[in-house]
Amino acid sequence: MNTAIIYKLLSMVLLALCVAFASCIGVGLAMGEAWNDRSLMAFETTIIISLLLAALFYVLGRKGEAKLYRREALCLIGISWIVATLVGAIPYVIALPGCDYTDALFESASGLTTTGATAFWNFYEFPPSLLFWRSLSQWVGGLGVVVFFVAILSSLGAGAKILFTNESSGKSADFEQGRVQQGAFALMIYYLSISAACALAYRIAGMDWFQAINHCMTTISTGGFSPEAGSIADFESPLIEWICIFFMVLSATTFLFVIRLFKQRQNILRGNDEVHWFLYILIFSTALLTLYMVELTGDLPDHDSIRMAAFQATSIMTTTGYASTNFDTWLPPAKMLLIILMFIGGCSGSTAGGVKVIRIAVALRAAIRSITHSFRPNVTIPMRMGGRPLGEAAIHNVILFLMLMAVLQIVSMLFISALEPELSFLSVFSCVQATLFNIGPGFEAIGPTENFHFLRPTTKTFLSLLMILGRLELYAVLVLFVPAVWRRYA
Amino acid sequence: MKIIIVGAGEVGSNLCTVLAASGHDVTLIEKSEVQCERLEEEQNARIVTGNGSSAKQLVDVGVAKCDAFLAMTSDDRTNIISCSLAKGLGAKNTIARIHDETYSDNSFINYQLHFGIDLLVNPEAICAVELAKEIRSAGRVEVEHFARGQIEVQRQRVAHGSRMIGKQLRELKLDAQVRIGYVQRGETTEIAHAETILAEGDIVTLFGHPEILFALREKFDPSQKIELSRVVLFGGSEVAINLIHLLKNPRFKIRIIEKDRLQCRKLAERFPQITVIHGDATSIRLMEEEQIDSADYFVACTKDDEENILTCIQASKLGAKHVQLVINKGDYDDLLGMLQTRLDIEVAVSPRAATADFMLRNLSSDSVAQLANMPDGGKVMEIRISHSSPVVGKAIKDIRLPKGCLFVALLHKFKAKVPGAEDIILAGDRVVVIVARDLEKDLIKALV
Repeated sequence: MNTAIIYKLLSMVLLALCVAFASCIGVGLAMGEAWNDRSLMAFETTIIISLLLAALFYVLGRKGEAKLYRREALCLIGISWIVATLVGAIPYVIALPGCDYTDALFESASGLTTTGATAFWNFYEFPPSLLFWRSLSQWVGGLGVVVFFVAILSSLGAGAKILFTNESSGKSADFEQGRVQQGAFALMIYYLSISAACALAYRIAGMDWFQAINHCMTTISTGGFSPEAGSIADFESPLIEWICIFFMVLSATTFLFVIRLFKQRQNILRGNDEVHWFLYILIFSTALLTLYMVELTGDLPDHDSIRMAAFQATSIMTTTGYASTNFDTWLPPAKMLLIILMFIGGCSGSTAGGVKVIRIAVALRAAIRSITHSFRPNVTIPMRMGGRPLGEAAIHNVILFLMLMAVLQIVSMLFISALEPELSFLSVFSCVQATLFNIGPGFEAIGPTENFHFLRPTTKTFLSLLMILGRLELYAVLVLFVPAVWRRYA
Repeated sequence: MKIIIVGAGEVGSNLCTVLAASGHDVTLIEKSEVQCERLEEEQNARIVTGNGSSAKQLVDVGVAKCDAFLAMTSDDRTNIISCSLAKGLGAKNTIARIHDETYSDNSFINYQLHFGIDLLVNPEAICAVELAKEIRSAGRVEVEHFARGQIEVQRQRVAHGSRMIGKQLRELKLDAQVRIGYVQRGETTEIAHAETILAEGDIVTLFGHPEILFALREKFDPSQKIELSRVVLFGGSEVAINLIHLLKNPRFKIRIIEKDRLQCRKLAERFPQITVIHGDATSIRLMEEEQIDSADYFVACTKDDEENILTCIQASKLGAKHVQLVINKGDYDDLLGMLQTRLDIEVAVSPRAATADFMLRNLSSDSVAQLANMPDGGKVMEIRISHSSPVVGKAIKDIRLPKGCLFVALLHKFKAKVPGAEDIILAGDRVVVIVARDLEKDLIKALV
């Protein structure tokens, strides 16, 4: 394996993180923190540590050739995310007196993977710079730690494509640009512009700038961290909730689809099955939840119940995890619906987590096909998705991925329940689901008003790993555990 | 630059790699899905599975906005249809790859104009020119080829006994296809004019059609006899056929070894002057029977690289004087240098590399390209005449070039010729010019 190129690119990932940390210092200074405050000292220390690491990696990788094959690309992504999570945890450890390292690790992983689960009950008392880092980590993780460089490093050539495909759930084949660098660059521009639009909308709707920017970063990345104690519900503003719903839906929709819409190269009604399925499911589940709330209160559907239903459905399905109400108090049918939405997640090629709508759609069609084949084996049924024919290999991959996710969910549940014997079944289940599918809140012990602080250190470390596994869609992390990857001739 | 390539064979995919690496925005259309999956990983370009000669497909990939459209499949007809469609749909520059000379034979209809294709390129022909260069001009002082082998520049010494000594150039009645550029006498070099008198020991720079130049050689140096060259080709591929065309002169005795009986019959019927042998050059018995040891040139040009390499080594060992080969695959690029130094293989050409070079030069946005260096410090430049050039519409005799510069070739559309005084330069033409030392800037000022 060409380890030199991995070191070289790792040092660049670390350098970019330094820029992010520096911006946290800037925000801290602007919000009235002093240079010698504990929080800013924490960021300064982190910058020094990452610079040293970057220098070390640079020296180790200085002779690297710019040749990147699948093996290197997958390892690089997996290692980058683990290193970024470890480095991202340092500010919490230093800035917070008496902070447990696993809490910091959990928070850092939850940030970068845009999960939005928190291990701190008092996060709203954090200094502004640390709150900003919490949100910024989600914004960086939304697009991907490595994708940022794909756009900048043109020397990687086709290797950049492998990196992009493995880090984001989108496919580089959908780009209109020939060079993957330009394609990734266009995505970045889009990401920046919807972030700016979102921040502006929040500001106009009544947040102050700090709140608006923090919330925009966690909305667009479908992360779900909020610097407020009670998440979005604290604002008690229907307008803010509707803005939030709109931008969550936008960020969970395939980015390239929206870009094409803007450029008017795409008819909104045609061409992308996945986005359609996504919207249908969202509207249908909003309607169901509204119905449920109407049933509960006995009133006619009004603005409040529709908004609440839409907000919860969107927040859960896009895997953001903001809460406008405590849905843990809802009755089982509504909870079941939310659990299903958590599995499905958003569209591929967006910032949303979950198994992605496209995989569900493909798997369902394959299932229908296999049922048809059981009584009519000779009929040929076309399999198309988004106007493209689906190969047998692609269908196979989707089904295998779903199976791997299910196995991981079940095995992790066994593991967690052994570590935390006092947790209820639903708590264990949603503990794993909320992290593996990058959602954030779960039910019962880890419900929307609770946090993960009470869990044991081993559990929190394991959940951090689950979050990274889920964000990278398994393979980039799983390969790190395959011995053959590291052996010279295997 | 936005470039669309149709067909991802050896030529197409190599072209894609080269162009993407030089920063172009490349889209590659290929019909095989399996191939596309592999390419997706190897190429930094957009890979589209589809039919490159379907108008819908071309519109989908944005042909109207592309700067260059390159049809590089191995099928001539697909390439021609694709290019013609692309041109109709708004592509700026369309280039089709062809193998068959049918489409470059313009005696009945000009295929290029008829289909609206900007350029037809034949990678196998480019390779054949490279191979023929060595074979045709053995023993000459200095040779350069331009315009796909249609024009050659060479330097020739006026030897003792030549009947040209003491005569003015106008008395020599040279063929219109040939021109004398410089006359170098001792340390001084001057541009030849009608009154120049040649003396013994002068070195003249000639340019024109290669075969006519060769015929002139004897007049400059009577001691040089025209010798027979025995050329053995292995493989009746496109390269071989192009090479046979280039070596039409009866002084080349060509023998071709081909494995396929049917192909042998076709070759024999098409080229009655050559000897066609049905057999396999990997067999040492056949090689000995065909007296490889007395061959001057052995050229391996089958489609199979491994056979080419091995038969070349074999031929060289058996005593063939000069050995040349064609390499198709890109994977052997790094081996080429080794082949040349260790195994005495003189020339190795590859259609993919030749095409990539050609395209890069053709697609480069600068209107000036340097083709070769002359030994006295001068340079040979190719200049594209743009619409804004001051020389558009002027006859050659009216254009004032800086002293020491000479027109060698005028390329109009697809045809190259040695320009005469009355020829008129049009926008879009390209000219090949010899520039004396340090005059490049003046020349560019005069022409661009």
